[in-house]
Amino acid sequence: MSVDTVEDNSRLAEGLGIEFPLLSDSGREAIRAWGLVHAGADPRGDAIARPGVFLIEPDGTVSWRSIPDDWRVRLRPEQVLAVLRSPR
Amino acid sequence: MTTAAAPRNHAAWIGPLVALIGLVSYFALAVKVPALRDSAALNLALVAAGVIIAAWGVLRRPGWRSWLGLGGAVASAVLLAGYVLVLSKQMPVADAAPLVGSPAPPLVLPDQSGRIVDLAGFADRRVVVLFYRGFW
Repeated sequence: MSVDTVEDNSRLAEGLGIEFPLLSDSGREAIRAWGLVHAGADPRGDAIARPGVFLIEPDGTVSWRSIPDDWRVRLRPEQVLAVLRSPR
Repeated sequence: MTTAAAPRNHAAWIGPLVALIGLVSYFALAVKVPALRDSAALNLALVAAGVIIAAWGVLRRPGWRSWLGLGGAVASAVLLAGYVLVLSKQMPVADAAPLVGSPAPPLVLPDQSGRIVDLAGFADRRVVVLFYRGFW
């Protein structure tokens, strides 16, 4: 998910063949609720998300998270899959 | 003494060129390769090599061309190092983000087809939630 619009996400999902939900937080509600606001980082001066990855268990609790301190450094797909495969 | 007959000072243009390649290739190429993007070590080495070559040009044959070359190489190095070592770490603290063991905050948003997705609707499985900066 990102602050991009549904239209932008639709184009992106089609281009990349993404089938999982690509959510649009254009109202910035989720990044506020999740404490991941990077204020003023949008070229238009609006807030965007700082990168973060969370694993949510069926009961709704956070069981793992990764919040890098550098926006260039992103978790790679294989790192997320390794977390999912590791024993609980 | 005439300078017209002096051999060309190649370090004065090779140095800044190497540094510029190091700077531009980070944004054009390295960002697409996670290993090169995360550490930026290869590109930092390139801009450093460019500065060293240009500095060698100044020592070997001082003059406005070699100083200009060194200035150009240093500018590329400062831009790259400033971005990867300073600027990209300028983010607010995330101390309000949910901790491990705490309940996930609400997440109800439209997906790429406009359909509303609610995190609470996935009570039968584990869910990975990824926050990206966007602007793809």
